[in-house]
Amino acid sequence: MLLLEWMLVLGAASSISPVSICKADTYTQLLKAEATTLNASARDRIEALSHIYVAGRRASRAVGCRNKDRVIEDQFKAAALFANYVPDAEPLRNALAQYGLLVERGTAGAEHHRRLIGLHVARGDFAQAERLRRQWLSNVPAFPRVFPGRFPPGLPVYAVQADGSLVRDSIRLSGDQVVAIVHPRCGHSRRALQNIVAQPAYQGLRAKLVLVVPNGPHWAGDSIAEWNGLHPELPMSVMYMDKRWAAFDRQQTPVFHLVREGRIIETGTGWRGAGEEVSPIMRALRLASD
Amino acid sequence: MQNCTRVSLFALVLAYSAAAAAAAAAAAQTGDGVRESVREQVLVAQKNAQISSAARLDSYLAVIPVDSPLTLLSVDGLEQFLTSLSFNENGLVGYSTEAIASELSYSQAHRLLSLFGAERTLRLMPGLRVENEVDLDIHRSYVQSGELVEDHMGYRCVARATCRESTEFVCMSGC
Repeated sequence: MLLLEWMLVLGAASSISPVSICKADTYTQLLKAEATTLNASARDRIEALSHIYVAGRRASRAVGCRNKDRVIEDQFKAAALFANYVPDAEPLRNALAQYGLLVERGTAGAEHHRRLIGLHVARGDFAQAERLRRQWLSNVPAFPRVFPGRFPPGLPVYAVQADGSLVRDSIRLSGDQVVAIVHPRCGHSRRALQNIVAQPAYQGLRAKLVLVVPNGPHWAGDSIAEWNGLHPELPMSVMYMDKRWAAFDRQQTPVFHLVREGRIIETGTGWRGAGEEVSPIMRALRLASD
Repeated sequence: MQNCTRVSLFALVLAYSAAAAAAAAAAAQTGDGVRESVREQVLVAQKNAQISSAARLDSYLAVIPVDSPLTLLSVDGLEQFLTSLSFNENGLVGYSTEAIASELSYSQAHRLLSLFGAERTLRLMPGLRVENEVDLDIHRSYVQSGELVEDHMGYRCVARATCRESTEFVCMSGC
């Protein structure tokens, strides 16, 4: 996302002339783009969102625009949305700056607190999310405690403990592994996993399966704990949003990635019911005939 | 004799392990079974709701009651909410929470979502306004309950059998 940083710098440099109308529709445009790119690849979707975000950011910096309430509101919501898609620091910095302005002006409300808390949750910063929750939204369930420590080498995840607390962990990629991006509240994911867990045909696949929940603004700790309690042999851990996950499609669930010595060599998306989505992976693992 | 005891102990451990594994598998099946029965109830509520299809929505809007909870939303909010609705044979299976989250209290949102048999999804919106005792009651009974349903906040139902990230959307059971 170096490109994003550069586009912002260039945008700021070219916005010297005053703009008569300050547009504050970046957030609305991002929502529309989310809808129109529902079937696009993860990369194309991020690119579409990135263009809108960068253009809106540039316009918001125009003379006479940057201090308008509706522009601040729009920029905050746009940055909070875009920051869920990319691990870059810029949209997070922007969201925090705009939120600071909203608080300073006395216009920050429950909706703004909720979005910022969601952003911290999506970025895996549960301590900040919990601090804000206690300050502003104490009627919302508490966020989990994260044990001190660093992520070991590999793909960073949070391991969910029985009491709901989190431990920094990682998926070490050696040999063949099937990294499944799933969500305990996604019906398609659950039906896929129920089949994989129950059917003997998937025994070989199960031995190589690692379940990862893409983290987002809506914490699903109770659902993950419930799954892990029922299926201790195949627990779900939570993805820590980081560039090391860039090659994995984390925007949809379920997605099955066959990873060989650290490289994705096969991907199956969705679960219609018969398991045809994982057939190429099974064949590559020599668990099924052609 | 000692060997016999060792063998017996080993057999006992094996038997215990097998029994424990079977018990764990049974517990998992029961847990998934509970979820499945809750899912069935949820689908019945959605299918039989007052508004369970685009056609029923049109009929409702044609003679909208003066006290309809839809009128609690602003004009923009209502437009955004209505254009976000997704229906299939299971009734409402997706909507945008944006207008509800920013404009309504718990009791207002409960009235509105009840039209679609979707009031349970309130538990996914923990930060709504609380203005009175009814709001508090609804917050307590929905947000703090651990209902086992497949409602996926922040995602939208996609035809190719996946849930796709989508801000302020909920991909509901039956998608």
